Parts: sequence; C-alpha cells; structure tokens
Amino acid sequence: MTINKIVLLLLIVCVVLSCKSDKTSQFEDKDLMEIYIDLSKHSDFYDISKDIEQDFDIIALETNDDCLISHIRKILYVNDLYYILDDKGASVFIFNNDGTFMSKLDRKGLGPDEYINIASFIVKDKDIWIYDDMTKRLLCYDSAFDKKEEIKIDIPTFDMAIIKDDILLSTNWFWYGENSYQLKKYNIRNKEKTEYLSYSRIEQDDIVQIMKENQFTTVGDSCLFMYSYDNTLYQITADDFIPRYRYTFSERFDDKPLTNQEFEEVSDLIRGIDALYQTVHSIIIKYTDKGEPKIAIYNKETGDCSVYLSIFTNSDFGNFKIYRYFISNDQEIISLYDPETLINYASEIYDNQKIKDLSKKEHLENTLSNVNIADNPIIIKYKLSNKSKL
Amino acid sequence: MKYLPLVITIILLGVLSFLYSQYYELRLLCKQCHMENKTLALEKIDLYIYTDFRENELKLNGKSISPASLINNSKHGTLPLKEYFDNDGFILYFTDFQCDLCVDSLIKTLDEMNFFRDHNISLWIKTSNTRYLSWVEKNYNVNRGLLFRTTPEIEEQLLDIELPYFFVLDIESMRINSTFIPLKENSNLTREYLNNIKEKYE
Repeated sequence: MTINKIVLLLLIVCVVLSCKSDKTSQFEDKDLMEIYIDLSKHSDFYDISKDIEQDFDIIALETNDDCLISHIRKILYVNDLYYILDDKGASVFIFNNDGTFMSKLDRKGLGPDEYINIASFIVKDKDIWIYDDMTKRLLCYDSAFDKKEEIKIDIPTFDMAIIKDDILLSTNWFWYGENSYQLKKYNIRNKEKTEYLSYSRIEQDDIVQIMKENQFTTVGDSCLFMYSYDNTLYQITADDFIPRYRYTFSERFDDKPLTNQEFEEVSDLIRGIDALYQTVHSIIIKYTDKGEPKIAIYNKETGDCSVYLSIFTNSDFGNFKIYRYFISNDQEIISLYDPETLINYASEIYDNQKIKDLSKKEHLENTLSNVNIADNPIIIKYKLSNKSKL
Repeated sequence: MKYLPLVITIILLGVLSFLYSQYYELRLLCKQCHMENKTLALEKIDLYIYTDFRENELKLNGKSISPASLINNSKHGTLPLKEYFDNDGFILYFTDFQCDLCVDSLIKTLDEMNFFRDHNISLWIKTSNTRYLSWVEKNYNVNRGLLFRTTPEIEEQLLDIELPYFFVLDIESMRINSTFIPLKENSNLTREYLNNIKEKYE
C-alpha cells in the first residue's frame, strides 16, 4: 500500500511539473476592444480649446552653462517639478514650476556609481530610476544623486514607466540573443523581476530596428503598452497584464519587419504606429502616413475614432499650434517649443491678433522678449478640464 | 507480484531520467547551434557595415565643393567657404540627429590627440537648432571659431548618412579627400586614421 502511494505521489509530481505555464499564452481574445481607424474620417487639426482649463502655464526654462539642454527625449512633471531627459548630454535636468533650474543628475563615467548613457527614466517619490543601455543596468539615484540601487537588466530598454511599485521596461524586437521579452517588470519592494511577451530574434539579417517614440502611456494606476508587429495594446496594472485593445486601419496598414532597402523605399503603406498616449477618455495613436505625422483619437466610452494631423491647436489662444507634446499621468498636455522656432516662425505657429486673453498674450510677449534663440525650450502646459472629451 | 509496484516505479524513474537527459542534451545542442548562428549573423552584419562604409567613402573622395558655397560660423557669420579656409581643412561632419555616443567619443578622441589645440580641425554641424551649437561649444569646450553650421547648399554636396565622418578639404582643388567613417566599436582604427592625418597634413 505504501509503495502504491509513493507511485501515485511520483505520478502527481510528474504531472504538476509538466504543467509549466507560459504567461503569454493565457490571454483570450474575448475581452479585446476593437479600435477601428477609418482613414476616411479625417480632419486637419484637433482643437483642444474646449478640453483644457482656461488658465495655463507658459514657462521659459532657465538657461545657463550648467543647465543647457541639447535635445529633450522625455519630460515628466512629478512633485511639481519638471524632470527632463537630455539624451545627448545623458543628464536629467530638474526645473521648478516657474522654470528655475534646480539641479541635475549628471553622473556619467565608468565608475561603479556612474552610468554611460540614459535610455529612459522614471521618478518614484524623489528617486530617479534610469536605464543605462550601454551597461544594461537599471540604476536608482536619490535626491542627492547618490546611487541607491543597481539591477542588471539584460534586455535593451527603450522606454520606462511606473505603476505603483512596478517599474516597467520595454524593448522592441531588439536582441541578438536566443530569447528575449518585449516587456519586463521590476518590483521595487520585493525586488522581483517578471517578464512578458517572449520573442525570438528575427531570423533575417539587415532588418531595420525600430525605436518607438512612446511605448507606455499611463492614466492613474493603469498603463497601456505597445510594440512593433503586433496590433494589440496591452493593459498593465499592479496585479494584471492583459491585451485590452486591438487596432485595425481601414486601409494601407502593413506593420512587418523591413530590410534597410524596403524601409527606404517610398511607400503608401502605414508601417506601424509611432507613439501611444492616453487620457481618461481617449487613446491617441500616432502614426506616419505618406511622410506626414497623424493621430487617431479613439474615444474609450463611445468607441468612435477620428483621424487628424498630429498637431493640436488651441483656437482660444490665436490658433496656437502644438507640435511636440507629452501627456502626463495627471492629465496635462506639456508642449515644447525651441525659442528659435517661436521667434523666427511665430506667424506659422499662432495668430497674435486672435489671442483673446490679453494677459496671456502679454505673458507670451514678455516671455519671448526675454529669451535668446539659443536658450532652453519654452514649455506651455495645459491642464485637461473635467469636461474634456479628449 | 509483491514487488511489482516497486519495479514499475524504478522503471518509470529510469524512463524519466533517460528522457530528461536526452532533453538536456538536445537543449545544449540547440544552444550551441544558436551561438554559432548568432556569431555568423554578427559577422555578416559587421561585413555589411564595413562594405557600406567603404562604398560611401569612395563616393565622397575626389568630389569637389564649390568655393562659393556659404557656411555659417557663430563667431564670424555666414561667408563663402573660401573666406574661411586658406589652408587644407580637416573636418568632422555630423548632425544633431546622429548617434550621440559616436559624436561624443570622436570629439573626445580629437581632444585627447590635441587636434583642437595643434591642428587645423573644424566641426561642421548640420542642425536647425542654434542651441545645439552652443551646447557643443560648452559641453566640449570647443572654440567657437572652429564650429560651423552647414547650409543646405553644402549639405547637398556631402553624404547624407546616419553617422559622423571625417574628411580633408583640399583648398587648392576644393576637393574632398581622405574620407573616413569611424566605427564606434573600433576606436583603434580611428586613432590610426587620425595619426595618419597628423603625419600627412602637418
């Protein structure tokens, strides 16, 4: 009898061991929401004037030799501070609400507490977490920029986001190794790493590697994630990771790996999406159509989806155009302008005569008269109102 | 009969061990194959890059530039090339959208080899952003007189590739010579090229 029990136990152990699950195979399609992007439903600009609060900020970032920004890769507005990643200088600059330079994370070097490059970053409380793509490490610096923690993450990371205690790191088919994952999660508290969406190296040489502008977009405690050659948007929360939306284009969409030659050929096809943003009510999908940046705005409640040029405009502020923007977790549109562009091409960006709010007009004029063309960028920050439909 | 379950258990364990050992060996074999494939793939990519670089260098060498082409210097303004260069010019050409680490390592190498102090080097930069020029000047402590912003007129006569590269502008013939596209991963070759330039043009 005892021997029979042992045999039974062994068989149960064998059965249990053979049932290893694969996280990516658990998904079911039934909960997927369809985003249908009808290219014929096209308008020029999306006007944000009805979506934003009347008051908004115009901030000229301070410029001096210690805080000259070369090129902004990412901007976060956290703790009432602007954290700006300068990817050429590999530094994170911190400015306060009125644009005064506060400090910067600039610890480039080959020492144990230093980094070589910053691919992306997030801010958790007052700590700055960066991913150094040259040494493949996730590093945490405290508010005095002393290194607190270091984690080896072998997967090259392009973008980062944070949901509660989980740092999310994304790649995009960038790996020569055996197997890799599009998404990695590192939990700050229990120091656990979790991987999602496994993939193997594309077995074809000379494939162009695509780097997306924005792979994560967060609202509250939920984040959407996308990557190339998969028309699914994944929703990530602290407890869950599910495919949430599937987007399809009415025509000419073909997102597949391309060789250098194919990539350089002029094509009418839409080759994947470039960036993803979301607000409480909408998902904004950015893509390029015949060389022109476009956006599809999908309403989460009604399921409607319309297509626009990727430029927002504010009709209450002289049809002020918003070319480059980040949408923060707190529902703010943070737009950026080089003083050189605003000064030299003012008439193409806004119509001074049509600015209704005279105090804002004066503020803009004062700001522009106090900057030089080689100064740091000017930020215009709009807050989405409760009535916003965007 | 009494020992039948025990015999079955032993046989079962034996079969499982055998299967596992076979699986392990297969994994090892796959891994080995993959490593070989990976090495081959990387070698292929290296070869592709080198061929591409050499082809581009050949395309540019011997090409002439019009002496009347305008170029901008943040210290002295926009003037024809011939006004700025009365000797052969050694040039590093790059844009603000190119590989940052490549540009960074090249400017640092030039500095280490005293090119900014002792040799006739100029940085030609394709950018629409004046702040980027200021950033290069301050970040690398480069004399403003050595920084030039190219005009579309000059840019269309040069190669539009995604990497920074060196060349020598022969002032007599206004022809481009000694073009070299450095590979970040092979800094020794870049140093060898720069030493050659020092010897030939001093």
